[in-house]
Amino acid sequence: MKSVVAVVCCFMVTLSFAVGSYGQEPAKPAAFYKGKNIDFILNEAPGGDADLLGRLLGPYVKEHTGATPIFVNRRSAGGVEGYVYLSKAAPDGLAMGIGTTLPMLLNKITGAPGAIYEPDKFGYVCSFLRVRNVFIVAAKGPYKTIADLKKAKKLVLGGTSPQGNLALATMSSIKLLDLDAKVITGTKGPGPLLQDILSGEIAGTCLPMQLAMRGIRDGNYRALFTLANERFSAIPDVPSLKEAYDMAGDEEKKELLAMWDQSLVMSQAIITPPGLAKEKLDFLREIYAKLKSSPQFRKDMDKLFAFHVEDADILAGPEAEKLVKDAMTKAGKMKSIFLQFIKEYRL
Amino acid sequence: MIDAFLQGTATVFQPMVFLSILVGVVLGVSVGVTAIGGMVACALFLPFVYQLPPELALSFLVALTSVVFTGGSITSVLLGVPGTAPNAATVIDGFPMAQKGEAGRALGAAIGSSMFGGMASVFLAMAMIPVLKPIVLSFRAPEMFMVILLGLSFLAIMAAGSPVKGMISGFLGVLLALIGFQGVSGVYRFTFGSFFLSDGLDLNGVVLGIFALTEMFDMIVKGKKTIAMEVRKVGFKGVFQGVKDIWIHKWLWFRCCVIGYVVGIVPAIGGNAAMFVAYGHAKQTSRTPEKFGTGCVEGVIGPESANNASSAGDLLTTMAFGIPGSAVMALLMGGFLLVGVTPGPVMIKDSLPLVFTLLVGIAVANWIAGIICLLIAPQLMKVSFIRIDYLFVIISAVVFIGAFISKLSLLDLVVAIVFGVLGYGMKRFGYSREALILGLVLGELFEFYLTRSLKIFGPTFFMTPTSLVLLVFIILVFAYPWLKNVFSRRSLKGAQ
Amino acid sequence: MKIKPGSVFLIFILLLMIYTATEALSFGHYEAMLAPLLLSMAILGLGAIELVRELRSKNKRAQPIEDEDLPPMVVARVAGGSEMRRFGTALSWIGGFALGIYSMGFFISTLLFALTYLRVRGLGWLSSTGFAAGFTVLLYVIFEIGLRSHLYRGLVFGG
Repeated sequence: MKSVVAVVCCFMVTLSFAVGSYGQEPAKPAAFYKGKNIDFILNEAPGGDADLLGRLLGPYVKEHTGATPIFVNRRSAGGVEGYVYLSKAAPDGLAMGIGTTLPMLLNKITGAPGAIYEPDKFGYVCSFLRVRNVFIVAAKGPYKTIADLKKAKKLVLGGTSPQGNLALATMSSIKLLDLDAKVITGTKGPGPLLQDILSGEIAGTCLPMQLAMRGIRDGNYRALFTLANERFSAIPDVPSLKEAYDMAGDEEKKELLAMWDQSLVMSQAIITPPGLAKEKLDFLREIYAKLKSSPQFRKDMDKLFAFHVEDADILAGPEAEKLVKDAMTKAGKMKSIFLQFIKEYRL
Repeated sequence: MIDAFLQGTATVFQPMVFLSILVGVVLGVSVGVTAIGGMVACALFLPFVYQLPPELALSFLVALTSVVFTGGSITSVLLGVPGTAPNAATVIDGFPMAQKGEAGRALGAAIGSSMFGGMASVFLAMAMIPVLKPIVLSFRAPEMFMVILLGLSFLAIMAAGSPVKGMISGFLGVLLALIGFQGVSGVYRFTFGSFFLSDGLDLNGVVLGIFALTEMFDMIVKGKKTIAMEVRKVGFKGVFQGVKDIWIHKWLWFRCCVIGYVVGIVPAIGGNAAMFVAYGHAKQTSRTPEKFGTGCVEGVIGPESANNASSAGDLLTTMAFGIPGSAVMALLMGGFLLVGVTPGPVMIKDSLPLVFTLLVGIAVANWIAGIICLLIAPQLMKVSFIRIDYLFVIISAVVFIGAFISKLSLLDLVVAIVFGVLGYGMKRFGYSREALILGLVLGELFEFYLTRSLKIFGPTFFMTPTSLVLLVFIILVFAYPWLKNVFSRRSLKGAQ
Repeated sequence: MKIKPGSVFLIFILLLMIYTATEALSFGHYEAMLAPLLLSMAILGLGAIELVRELRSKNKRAQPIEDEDLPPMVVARVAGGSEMRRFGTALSWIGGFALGIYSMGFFISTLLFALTYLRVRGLGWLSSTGFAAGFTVLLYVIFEIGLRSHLYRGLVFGG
């Protein structure tokens, strides 16, 4: 009898809590985050730019939200694992990703195995460091100008994976300049590629600017052109491919270059799972917008990337989202072009 | 350069810098003991230190990552659990020594070799600063292929007892290395559609399973009550005997330091290969190679000198080129960038005192770690007498945490168990686990550099001067036993 | 002809190599299939040689496993059957621990694993509980508080 009474009492207490909480409004975002843990999914191995940026952001996130960031590297399959994880994560605001948008796009566009996420469905909080590719060669090597590259026969250029940004940007350069060249893939990252250029094993490669900058500043590498329509302010002496090479009349090449200039732009984006409540997304966007005007954060970021990141290259969430959506509208066309490049230019 | 060296050394002994090295040492040794690994530790502590002045932050990080192997050698010897993947070779002879009641001697040899190896490599690094760049840049795909082939030629040494079984083990290791994404073709091999295997098998899980779990299974099957039944030398006597053994085998120690250092400066290969190549070399040059695997002190001295010696070379290449040679260095380089120091030729040119601070810091860190570990070693030896049931719990937990923590994936626990079972089978039926691991470490690079060499340089890729020199070394590795016989017969004849 | 356990192990490896070679042929690119194919063929060849050698060698009586450095009476004399049983038992405990980690997380499963294993092995309640609790607390202090590595909490406790 006593046990029956105990069970009924417990039930009544539980029921009253349930009824009581039913009518409550969900906590405001600011209150929601206090004391909670946020999973920061880093789509790279420790030490990569997105990884380091994420760890830089940690203290600011804690300061402005009251939540503790927990960093989790989900880097398998070139970061695809992380994007898939985020696409399936609960949209409760407690999981965020920091990843490089260009590999995210290219993996999806080229149909990388397992890339079941939809880039245009993620929530975009903001994006740091919008950069394009620059073609580099060894500073003391035989290729001083684009003309030298064009004159050369059977050039060997470098790339990481065949469907990756570096290889595809380099293959696009071959197409745009009509070089007698092939791309050898398989190198495990930009570091070994840079070493291969120094040792003369490969003639050059395309790299995102922040990876090339350190070597260019050291005097080891020379940038021949930017894979863009305009010059970069950090390397004002390096011409853009548009001004360095006349593509008059060749609409196909102009379109390809425009793709690299406008759509296939590298940025380090903070993304949330699809379906996150607008209120929470806006709250997070406000937090990160404050970072743009934080002198300490800007100083740390400049140290990390080895050059001053302009205001224009820090994008608000809606702008980052638009960039990705625009790129996805051209996905079909890009896929056929890139698969053709891989067939034609891979050594 | 001498001024920079003196300035850099003076910085190391400033109170705050010395304190940061000391804290790094204590944490590094602890991390090594807990089987977490240098990379994870560096990632965990990086956010706490990057706001500090460069000499404090970098000294801490460099000290932390360079003494992890010293801590790892403790668990390798006492429990058969490699604290880090590069400590795996120490288990092969270190743990049997503990089982024979020679834990103190094994600890003394392991810690001492680590300590002196780490210190010696700093002098090698400093001597090589002026010539580092041309040496490293001369290593292109053909030379890298020959270096890896040289490493793989030690499979023959490891397989000495049963060549067919040894080669099966080695080839199996190479085959396992091919699991995952192949960058050359863009094909995922043997991944069964899973992300987990797309980057290949994680070496941590494999090594923890094939050594730690295997030894645990072995002890339980044999019904042992404790790791050791008696102690052959108690207290500091045993530990000191191990340190003395390094002096007795000083040339072996020196050669293995050089092996470790050289492998460290060659990008991409790293400490994992250095330890097994050094182990193979130690076995090859020993007067009693048949005793390797049963508790031979040379089998401890070799790999332990090599893995600590590889840190200075790895760091110097990273600082000189701005290109990290290993995953740990990639993270460390991130630390450099965050504190506002850009590794590369400019660092060598303009911040040479800082370079020396870090190199001397490695030497000091190894020295401090060695002293601390040697002092506590006699107490640590008592682990050999803890009831095996307690150790089963401890080792299982440490193996699973160590396997989980590098990729935060529960499937790594499955990997550890699978390789624990495989390792037990291999040990039971006479297959060489060390040959499998050597194949696993070098296999993917072997295929990569062979393909690359053929594509870029054609079938005569091995005709470069450096490649031909390395080819001679490879021939020497195979010919060594015959040469040894010839010379010993000649010296016997001469004596008669 | 009785097949020795070593031969069973080798046959397992050979079957795995047959699968590997078959799978390698499906890779499409020659660069992807060449190395796995050659290696699996090499292991098959070597394995076949070793298997023939093993099957031909005289079937020795199962020897007790002895460690020459230990007093013989201390080491349990085991023959093939009980060796497999001990191995199976140890493997079951390890497997159970891993399953426990999956469902309950590292800390709870370590506590339960330590407690149950030590009790089954004959230790008293006090020492089993004390060790289990102490070891779990130590792990918590090192990993959660010290290293902030946030180990997996398990399905049940929201991992």
